[in-house]
Amino acid sequence: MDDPRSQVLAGTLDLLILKTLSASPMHGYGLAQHIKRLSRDALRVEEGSLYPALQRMQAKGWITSELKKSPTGRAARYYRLTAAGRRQLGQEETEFQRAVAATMRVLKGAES
Amino acid sequence: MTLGEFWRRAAAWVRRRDLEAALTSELDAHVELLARDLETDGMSAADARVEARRQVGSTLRAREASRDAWGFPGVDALLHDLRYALRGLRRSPGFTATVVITLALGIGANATMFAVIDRLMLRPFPYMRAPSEVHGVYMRSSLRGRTLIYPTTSYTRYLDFVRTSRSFSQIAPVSHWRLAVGNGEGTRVRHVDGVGAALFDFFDARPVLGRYFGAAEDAVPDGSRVAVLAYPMWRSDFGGRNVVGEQLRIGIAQYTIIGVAPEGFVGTANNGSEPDLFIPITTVPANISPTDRGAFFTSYSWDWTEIVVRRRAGVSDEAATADLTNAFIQSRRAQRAINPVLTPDSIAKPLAFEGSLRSWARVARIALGGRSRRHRLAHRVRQRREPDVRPRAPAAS
Repeated sequence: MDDPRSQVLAGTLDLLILKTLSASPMHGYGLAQHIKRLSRDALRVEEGSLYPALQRMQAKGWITSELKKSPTGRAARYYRLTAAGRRQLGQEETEFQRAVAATMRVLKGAES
Repeated sequence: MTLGEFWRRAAAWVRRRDLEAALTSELDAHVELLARDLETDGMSAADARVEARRQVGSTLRAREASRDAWGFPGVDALLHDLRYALRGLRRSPGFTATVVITLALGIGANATMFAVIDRLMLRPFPYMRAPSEVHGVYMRSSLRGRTLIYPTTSYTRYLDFVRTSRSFSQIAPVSHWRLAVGNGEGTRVRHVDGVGAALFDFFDARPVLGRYFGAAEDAVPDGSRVAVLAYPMWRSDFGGRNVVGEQLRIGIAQYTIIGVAPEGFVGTANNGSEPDLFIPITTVPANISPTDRGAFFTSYSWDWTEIVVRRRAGVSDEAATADLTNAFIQSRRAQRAINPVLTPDSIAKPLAFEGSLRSWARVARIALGGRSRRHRLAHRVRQRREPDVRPRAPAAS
């Protein structure tokens, strides 16, 4: 049986990661938990998608990473937003809001 | 892909093994943190560990997907395919040998053809000034229903063209021979070009030693027996020493070496017949046919001279053809005075025109189907000497 929690909508993973890292640097597990918590368990980030996305975004220059000691005492890789990442976040937010607004208009039109 | 991304990917590709190890460790940490949280929620340590591992699933997929960000997936795929193909080829050596030999022959043939075309058709003669202005002269006439086109004519006709034509700033005669050169056991058959002194003025090629011969040394009835060595022969036969003033037997006569042409200088010789030395064209008849040389500059019966011209600025194709044809007709008139049985112009329909100095260019134009009349005519050029008199009357002319 499928997990009732929605997986992250296609195309929004980058936006969610960028937005989360804009608050503070975070490791991979922290990112996944943060998105899950803020979405009240509605969105779940697959590890198999999260880590490749982080590598890809590093290649794009949107984020950087460094090894730091986590609160548990274990070394963890912390990801941080770059200036290019901040610009990308602005663009993705705008595009996402435009897409949502357009989708809403269609839905409202279909109801009327 | 931006330049920055290219460099980041390239750097990641170099460190891809380290990055993969780091990712594995990061995924392990992820499982560990998840297990700890599940334990906090009340699961036993063992169950939490199993559940965390189940939720994260195989780390293989994440590692494989991450590799796409390290380096260049297209290149990696290509290398992978290449390795696969090489393994296959290693397993069947017979097939491999066939493929390798076929490819080698194909590439070799193409490279050779390109070199030939480049050398023979595209590249101008070394040192030639404004090569696009320089052409060879061809003549056409009909005889007994056959139309002949020929690039060689008599020296007398060349002199007529010099006197009569108006479209050219430079004009020079050239003839190609194979003669015995040297003394005693050192004698070899060499390519010898008998050329007019004016030919050297077509080029910006300072001699590396001595000088070229001048008009005074290339005059009828007998030119001076002087020779200019081509660079390769100077190096191979004389070791590059100062040879000016030395004697050299060429054909049946002794010549004095007066200079050495620079490296690569071949005059207007085509590939495969680069001259080893240059001598005044007016010394050739005495050398080739000592008993019958007297009238080479007054008779029309010996076709051995090619004519090289440089067209004046502003003269069109049509004007050059008209001028050359007029010179040809006048020359034939002079010839008819000596030899009254020369085919009448109404039958011979004489025409003279400019064409390429490259023998292969003519062949290529046949293959490509030249557009202009000049080119169409050049298709039918006969390399061998063809008479334009009827009947041939060597004694009478």
